[in-house]
Amino acid sequence: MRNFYYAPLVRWERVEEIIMLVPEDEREEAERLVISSIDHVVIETVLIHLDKQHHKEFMQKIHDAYHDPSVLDWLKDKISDVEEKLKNAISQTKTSIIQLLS
Amino acid sequence: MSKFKKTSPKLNKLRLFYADAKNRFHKTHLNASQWLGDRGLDVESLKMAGKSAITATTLAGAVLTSQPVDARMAEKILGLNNKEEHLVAEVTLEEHEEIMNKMAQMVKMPPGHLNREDELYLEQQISDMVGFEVTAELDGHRLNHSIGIMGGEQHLKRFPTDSLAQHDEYQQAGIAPNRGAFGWFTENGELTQQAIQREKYYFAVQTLYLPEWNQNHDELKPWYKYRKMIAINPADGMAAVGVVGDAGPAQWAGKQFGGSPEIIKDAKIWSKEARGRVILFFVDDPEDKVPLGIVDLNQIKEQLAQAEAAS
Repeated sequence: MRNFYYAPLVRWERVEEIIMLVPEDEREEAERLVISSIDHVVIETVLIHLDKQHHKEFMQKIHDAYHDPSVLDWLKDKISDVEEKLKNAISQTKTSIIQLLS
Repeated sequence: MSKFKKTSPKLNKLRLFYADAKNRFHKTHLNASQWLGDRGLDVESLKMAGKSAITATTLAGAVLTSQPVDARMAEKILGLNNKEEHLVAEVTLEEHEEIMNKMAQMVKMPPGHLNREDELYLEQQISDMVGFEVTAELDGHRLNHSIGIMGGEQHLKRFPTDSLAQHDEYQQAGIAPNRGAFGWFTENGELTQQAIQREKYYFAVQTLYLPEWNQNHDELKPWYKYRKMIAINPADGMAAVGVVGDAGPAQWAGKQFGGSPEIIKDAKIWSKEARGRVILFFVDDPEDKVPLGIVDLNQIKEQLAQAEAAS
């Protein structure tokens, strides 16, 4: 489930911590919501920094191979410090969720 | 006490957070949102789109190592209206082989329809072979394709709280996040045997691209819902009888039909030889006598050979 193209940039133990904040019988949905929120934030961050001429190519790439780490390699060629930018965005998202649930 | 469990405030907050993230994405990235919308996708289903491509490959690989499929369906179909006797009279072994060879060539043609003459020939020959009426056009309704590529679909939710774990086979195919285009499979809220069978053997067809769909949607949707069809994979001598259970695939996918995990694997739709190429016809079955499931056309061939040897 977690072999997304951006998976190496996520500290998954932090995601687990967030999921543990909700009651046990709701954790399956909570996991889906947290990961889907991160999915949106990652795409947003990429689109903000990626040259517009590559937007469609990016969408096609994640459509064809959302689980393929080569998408991240492709992004590294197109956006400077993309890993740092995505890590920050993901980390901020997790922090916001933790604050919301605490 | 209510039988419905109250959602915790934390989960509700998470739901709102996710809804905000989703809305923000669609509002601030209109082109990407439009790109997804044009393909009938959102970010969640985008993830699954990639996964279903993997699934198709996985299933194709699995086909090569799978055990022979349950032959009971062929027996059931052969048994319809004492059809075994009829078969011997209508189709010889030589004719059977000739039809299979012709179909194997026909499915290699570009997606679409055969010319009417070939279509009539095929309708008659397949009907004689399987023992029930099949047709490219039924009650004046015709899909945009009767020959094309069938992609692998995921399981469909049969009722709102259905989960992958509750489907007994091919869980590696995953489950679609939303219900199928024709609604829940349950009948009056009950998961009947018929509902289970319909989800097991469902087809996705491109009703949304029918020229008359937008004008006659109210009439067409109930007609197509659970309409019985047969997919024939001539390369492997396999067929599947199923029902229309979903709409799709999207045009850009390069496929004309979709099949449930059971259909794709058990009818060997993505074997090395077939690679998704099928003939898809309606089954004319007003009395609902034809069972859903896999038809092993090779077994029919064997029975014809035995019958000829005995005569």
